[in-house]
Amino acid sequence: MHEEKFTDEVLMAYADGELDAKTRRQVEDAIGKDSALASRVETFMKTRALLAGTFGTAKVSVPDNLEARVRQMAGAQGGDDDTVVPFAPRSTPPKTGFAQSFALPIAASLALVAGGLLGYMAAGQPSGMDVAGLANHQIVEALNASVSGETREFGADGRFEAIATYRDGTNALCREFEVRTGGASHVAVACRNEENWQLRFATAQTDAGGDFVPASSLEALDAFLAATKAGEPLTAEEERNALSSLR
Amino acid sequence: MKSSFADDIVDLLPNLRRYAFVLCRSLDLADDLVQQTCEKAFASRGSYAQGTNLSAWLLRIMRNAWIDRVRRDKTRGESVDIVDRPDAIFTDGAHDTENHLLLGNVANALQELPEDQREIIMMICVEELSYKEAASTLGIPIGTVMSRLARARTSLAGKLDLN
Repeated sequence: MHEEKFTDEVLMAYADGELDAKTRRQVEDAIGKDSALASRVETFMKTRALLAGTFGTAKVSVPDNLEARVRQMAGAQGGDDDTVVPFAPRSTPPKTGFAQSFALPIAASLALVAGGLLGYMAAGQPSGMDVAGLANHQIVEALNASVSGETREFGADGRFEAIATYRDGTNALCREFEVRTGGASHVAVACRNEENWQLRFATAQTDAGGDFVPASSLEALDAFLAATKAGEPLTAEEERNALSSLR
Repeated sequence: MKSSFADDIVDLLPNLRRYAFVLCRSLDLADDLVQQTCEKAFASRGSYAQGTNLSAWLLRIMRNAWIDRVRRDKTRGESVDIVDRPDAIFTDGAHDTENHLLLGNVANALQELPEDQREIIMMICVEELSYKEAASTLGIPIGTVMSRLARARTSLAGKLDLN
C-alpha cells in the first residue's frame, strides 16, 4: 500500500482546523502511524499557539488621543446609531478566540507539546517520540495510583503531582497533572482508553532556561478542557473508585 | 449584544494598532496608519456587509492604505528607517519579566520575516482570520495564502527553535 504524502500546507491546515472532514481523517490516521508527520503538525500548532499566546494575549496600549480621534470621526460622519452591527466583534480580549481556534486541532487529540516532556514521558520507546503514547512507567504508575493532590518524586529532579481527575465528553477517564523535570515544569492531561493512558495535552509552565514559555499555557489548557467537554473534577470517592477499577 | 459601528471599531483599535505595528515596524507610522484606516472605514462604511468579519474588512482597508503610502513615499525605499523595539506597543505593567522577554523574542523573530509573511502570519495566527478571509483580504488565491503561511511558520519555528 502506498503511503499518503502530505504537504506542509495540508499538515498546517490540519493544525489550524481548516481541513474538510475527509482529509482531516486521512491526516489523523497518518499522524497516528508516523511520528515524524506528527511532529511536523506539532510545529505548526506551536507557532500558532506561541503567536496567539504572546501577541494575542499581550495588552496592546492605545493612546487616548487615538481613541478620541476615532470617536470624533464617528461623530463627524453623522452619529453612529444608524448602522448597528448585531454581534460582538472579535476584539481585544482574545480568550474566546483562542479557545475557538484551538478547539478543533486540540479536540483532534493531538498534544500541544512544549519542550522535552514527550521525550521524557516516552523514554524507553524504541520508536522515539510517540505523540499519543505514554510509556514512562513511573508516570503511568503515578496516573494509576496517585490521588489528586499527591506528589511523587522521580529520581533526583523529577516530580509528579496529580491535580485533578475528570471525565471528558466521551466519558473517558482523564487526569490533569504536573511534571517537573530538571527545573522545567509542564502541565498535562492524559486520558485512559481501554488499555492505557494517552497523553492528550501538554504545555510548558516554566522552563529551566526561562525562554519560550507560552504566556497562555493555562489558557491553552482551558481551551483544551472546553474543547473536549471536560466534566467537573471527580470527588475523592469517585476518583478512588475510578482508579481502583484500573487495577 | 448590540453595539454601534464606532464602538466596534474602537474595540478593535488594539488589534489594528498591533497589526499596523508589525506591518510598518514603527509606532508613529503605525498610529498614522490606524488613523487613516479608521477615516476610510467611516467614509466607506456603506460597503461593509453586516455580519461579516469587521476585523478582516478593516485589515483590508489598512493594507491598501499601507500599499498606497509605500508607493507614494518613494524616498523610503524598501524598508522603513525607524524601527522601534518590537515590543514597543505592549504595555508590560501586567506582565512579568519572563513573559515580556518571551514577547520580545517572538516579536523580534517575527520582524525578521519578509513583509508578505509577517502580514499573513498576523492575520491568521493572531487576528484569527480564516484562510478564506485572508485570501479575500489580500486578494490572492487560498493556495498562495497556505504556501506563504506555511513558509512563514516554518521559518519562525526555525528562528525560535521550536522544531
